[in-house]
Order: sequence, then C-alpha cells, then structure tokens
Amino acid sequence: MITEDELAGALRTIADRAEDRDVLTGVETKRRRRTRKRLRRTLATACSLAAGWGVLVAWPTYSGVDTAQPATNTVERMWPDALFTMPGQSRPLAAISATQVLVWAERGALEVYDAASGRSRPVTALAQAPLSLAVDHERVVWLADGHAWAAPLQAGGKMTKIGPVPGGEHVDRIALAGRYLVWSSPLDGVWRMSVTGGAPERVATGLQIVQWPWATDEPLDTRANPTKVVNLQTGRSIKISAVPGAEGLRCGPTWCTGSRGQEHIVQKIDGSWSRTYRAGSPGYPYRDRFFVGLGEIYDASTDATVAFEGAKIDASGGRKWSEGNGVVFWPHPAGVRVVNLAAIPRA
Amino acid sequence: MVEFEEFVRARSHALLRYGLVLTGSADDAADLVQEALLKLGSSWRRVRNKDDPEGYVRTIMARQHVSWWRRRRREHLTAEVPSPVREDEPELGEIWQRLRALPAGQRAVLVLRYHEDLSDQEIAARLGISPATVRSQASRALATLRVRARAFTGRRR
Repeated sequence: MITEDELAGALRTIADRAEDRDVLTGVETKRRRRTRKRLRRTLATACSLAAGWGVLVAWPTYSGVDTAQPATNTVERMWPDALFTMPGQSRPLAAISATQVLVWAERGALEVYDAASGRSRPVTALAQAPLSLAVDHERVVWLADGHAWAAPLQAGGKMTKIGPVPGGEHVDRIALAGRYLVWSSPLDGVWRMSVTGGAPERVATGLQIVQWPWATDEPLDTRANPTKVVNLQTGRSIKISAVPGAEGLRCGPTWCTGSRGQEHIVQKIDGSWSRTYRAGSPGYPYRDRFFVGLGEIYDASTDATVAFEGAKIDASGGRKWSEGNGVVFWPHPAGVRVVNLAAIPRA
Repeated sequence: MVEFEEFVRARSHALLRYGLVLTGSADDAADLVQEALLKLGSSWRRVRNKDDPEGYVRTIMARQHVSWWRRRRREHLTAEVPSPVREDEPELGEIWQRLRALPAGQRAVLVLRYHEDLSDQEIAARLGISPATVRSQASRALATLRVRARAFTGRRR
C-alpha cells in the first residue's frame, strides 16, 4: 500500500523528468499538414468536377526528399523556412527556436534576432563572443574567466555570475537542463550547478554530454568507439553496435558518424543501417538528426544531403561559411545568410 | 497583450510536464501538447481575452487524451515506451507501471486530483463528466494502485 502523498510525489517526480521540446515548430508542422490535407481534398473535388471537361489540375507537391541526386537538394528548395538573411554583421551563435537565434553583435553585445519580425533585441553587453555557451527559451549561460555566467533572454534582465566552474579550462561541452547548468569534460564526467548558484554536483562519471539529456562514454582515443549513449534524466542506456570496420564513432541516441577505412560513414546506433558519407567527419548530430559536414548538411532522418550557397568555393579559393549550435551561416551582400536547423520540422 | 508564440514559449515546458504524467510517454506528451496548442492557436483571439488560456489548453489535453486512448489503446498496450523511471527506483517504477496500465479516464482523474490539485468539482468540469463519475473513477483507480486514501469522496475542498 502507498499513501496519497506518495502518489502525488511520484507524479511530481515523473513530471520533473519531462524533456524540453520545441513545441512551436511541432504545432506549425501540424498546422501545415492539415492545411495541405484540406487543399488536397478541395483540389480532388475540383478535379472530379472538372474531369468531364478535360481540365488538368496540378496536384500540389511539397519538399520531397531527393537522395538519388544530393547535389540538387538545396536549402532553398528543401527547407525554405529555415533560411533567412540577417542585416548587419552579427555572428549567429546558436538556434533558440524556429524563428530566433542568439547572435553576438560586433559592438559587444549578445542579442536575440527574430527572423519572423526581422528585429533584434538586446540580451546583455559582452565584449567578446563566448566560446562555450548554451541557450534555451529562457536564458543563455556561458563560461568565461573560470566562471559560469547567465543572462535572461527577456528584456530588462541582467547578466549574473553563477559561480566558479572547477577545471573550467577542460570543459568542452555545456548545456542547460531546466534550472541547471550542466557541463562535462573528457576526464571529469558530467557536473551540474543551479543557474542561481550553489555548489557543483557530479551527475555522472565517465560520460560526456552529447546534447542534453544525452551523454556518452566517449573515449579519449579518437579512433576508438564508445559503447553507449545514456539519458541522464531517465537513466535509459542505448547500446552502440558499430558496423564491421567502423572506427571513431560519435553517436547521438539514434545516429553515429565515424570512419571505415578511407571512408567516412554514418550509421544507425544499433548497426542495422549504414552508408558512406562524403562530406567529411562531422562529429555529433544536432537534434539527433543533422550533421554539418564540409559544405553540406546531412539529415539522417530522411537520408537527404542538402547543399547551401555559402559552401561554394569563392574567387579566393576558400569557403566562407561557419557554424554555431544549430546554425550555419555565411556572408551575404545584404548581411549574413543563416540556416536555422531548429526551424526544420520533424520528418 | 500576450501573443500566441509568447504564450507557447513561456508555458510549453509546464504543458509537457502535464502531458507526460497524463500519457506516460514523452512522445505522446509532445503530440498531445501540440494538438491542444493547434486548437488554441485557431481560437487564440477569443481565448486570450479571457483570463486563463492555459486552463483552456489543459482542458483540451485531458479530453483529447481520453479520446485518443480509446482509439489507440490496442497500440499503446503493446508499444514499448522509454520509461522516465530509473532502474534503481523500484518503488517509483511500480507506481508508474500501475499508473500507465490504468484506463486513460481514471489516470486523468488521478493526475488532475494529485498533480494539478483540483477538487472533484473542478475535475468534473475539466473532463466534461459528473462529479459522481469523478469519484467512482478515482475510487477504482486508487484501489488498482493500492493507494491508502484518506477518503474516497471529497478528498479536498
């Protein structure tokens, strides 16, 4: 027998483990699908009415995946809603949502740029763009001078020093997990600290963050394979099964990339599927789906390789594109051209 | 005045929490939240002028969940769903398994009572059923879960 209070406590504990998701994009996708369905029904009716007069009505089509000819897949064609031009010379740092990206403006400030309205709003003054940061819908956190810092994204907030991060110079991944800043380094496991301050506490040993809440036992040897990907919120562990000959795998909960002989490969985490990947070794996936390689974005969920304008070799023989967390960008006569991977609906 | 996107950004995590305890699955929770917000979005101008758009969404979620469950229960009974409970939490795991096995209507009543802290009258209004049905659903669910209730009728308020 349990008590009512224990039942209430159990429900609270479970609720606390809800994973954050980009709900707005999902709503938008559902809305579009319904609109298309309505349109198709309307056109079907129109077709059947018009058929007697020999009228041809084009069937509406939408962004089909063309994996046979990857070169013809461009961001403009495949993901038009994810592409925008931002005026000025701000540097995109990370995707926040389907329309918002965090940017660093050259005058020395973090800002949120909204592609829907075409406007920026200031977050906080900051002399240099942070090298290590994480952002969610509420705040941005970053590491600088051995300390963790935070600033709310809403207007009027102030930058605050959260506290010292021990071994900060070795930290190579940070994430936001609700009210916690989480970080990991190759030898020291995963730690967390409340965004309001307090003592750091160890969350896991022997693991490195992939993308919260997922972590992996990434080996120091770049040619060795990890064995598992673990959900740090629920404890669920997914075994990695390397395809024969695969080395240096780096995995999210569904997909891995690595090499096999002279080739780069992408494979499913359970080893049930793999293919060669021509655009170099791209590391960990963004949102368990997108790999940004040498001038191409690969969407593992649809097996589509998508090219973008900035990756073309220019007159100087170089490529001018760069990337942040969930953003790919390059210079453009009107400012900065940006692909926001968070704006791409689920497949 | 709050715009729809602002409302979604501000409240989506709270709704996902509610969705997870209602449905028992992170994917179903996200689906349920999105479906409810889609409906809210189409009537946002009307709803935002009232005081409680979130109550409106939560009502849609509870009712939609019960309706979906009736349609999908065969799939759900066989589907493997990632558990939010760790292996080293056997007591929590047992409560969770029993909660998940409850019919959606009974589970919704328990969630609204013990997680949302609503009175039986409020639960009845949210689910569109009578207070008597709320009490009988709660009574059966608590018996299945082997919960030692203080009282089966009118627990609070």
